[in-house]
Amino acid sequence: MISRDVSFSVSGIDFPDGVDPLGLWQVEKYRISSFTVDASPLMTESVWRIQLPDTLEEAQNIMQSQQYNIEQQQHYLDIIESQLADYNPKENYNLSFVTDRDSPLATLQSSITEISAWSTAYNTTGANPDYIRLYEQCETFLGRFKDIMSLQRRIETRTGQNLVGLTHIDWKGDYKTIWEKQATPPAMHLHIKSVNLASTSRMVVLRIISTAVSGALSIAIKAAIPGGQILLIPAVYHFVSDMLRELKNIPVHA
Amino acid sequence: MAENDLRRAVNKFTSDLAAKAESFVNDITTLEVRTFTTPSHEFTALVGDGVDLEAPIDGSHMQLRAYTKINFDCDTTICLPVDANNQVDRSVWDMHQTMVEHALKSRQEMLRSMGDALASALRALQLASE
Repeated sequence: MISRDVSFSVSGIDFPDGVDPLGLWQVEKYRISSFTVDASPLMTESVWRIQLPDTLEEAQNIMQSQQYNIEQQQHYLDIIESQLADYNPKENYNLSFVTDRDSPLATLQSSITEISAWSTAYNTTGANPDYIRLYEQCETFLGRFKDIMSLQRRIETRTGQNLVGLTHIDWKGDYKTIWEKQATPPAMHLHIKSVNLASTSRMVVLRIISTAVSGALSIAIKAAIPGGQILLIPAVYHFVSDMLRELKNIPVHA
Repeated sequence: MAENDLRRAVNKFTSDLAAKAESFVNDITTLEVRTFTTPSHEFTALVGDGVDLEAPIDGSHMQLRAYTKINFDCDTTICLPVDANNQVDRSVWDMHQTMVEHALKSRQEMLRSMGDALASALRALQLASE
């Protein structure tokens, strides 16, 4: 259990659904520093803040636990990708998860059935408000993917009251790191782990979105849904993020 | 009309991503990693959303301690940090090197992600055109 003086937060990223699909980062509103001259609210970077206890051992254990968590999620994503590739919406196919598979799968199948029905009434879809709403959702979704890929990012690490390190990574991937002058090597290692955690989190989120795009394409072909490769993206994204949540909660048996 | 809107959405996504990829390819001919130190009382001025780390701060004691630049052809420029005795400051150098390795790995992953995203978008565009 993470104690009160520990937090992992991110601002400046507009996740689909407004929630981090990894369940690691608390999403905060992008706030303008009082030190800036230009108070433009334009988001040009994402800011990842890691607050750790000032006890070194506790801080190290927490970082290790978060790193393990994200490695596990990458493994779960491998499983979900493989199962999505095999999934055939025209068959009553049971995904071989050891989990409560009814809810996310039933929701996905229901979305597929609904969108399939729209495509058989093609001449009226232009006037269908659900279709229009979904199409707008998809455009927004694709826009967010581009933003997450292109935003600069900044990672700040604190132990107790002390800011230990700050790293800025621009769009090209150039790094700029500022250390507190008296920072000790163990504290500096903590910041490096923070940079690794934030960067890995971003890559995994991009991978989740990419999985949703590929999954939507695969299902659209199998179910023969015109436009399904776009319209199904939000539904497949929800399926992937719901499955990740479920897989994380499965107890590990010895 | 709805089908054209979809095709337009995929087209836009693909062309925006392709433009970004082209800009990225042009920009990634070099990789630069900089390491600075600053006194703790000046550190708080550098945090907060929207602070421009490129803009000089009056009276700042922030010092550039190490710098690495790697060109596309692998020519490398390195500036090593030294302490008051003109000896290499190992703790700063070790951290700097770790960041260089991290930056190289991140760039590889970025290229792979971009490639995967473009491939998916092109497949989707192809399907939308059929």
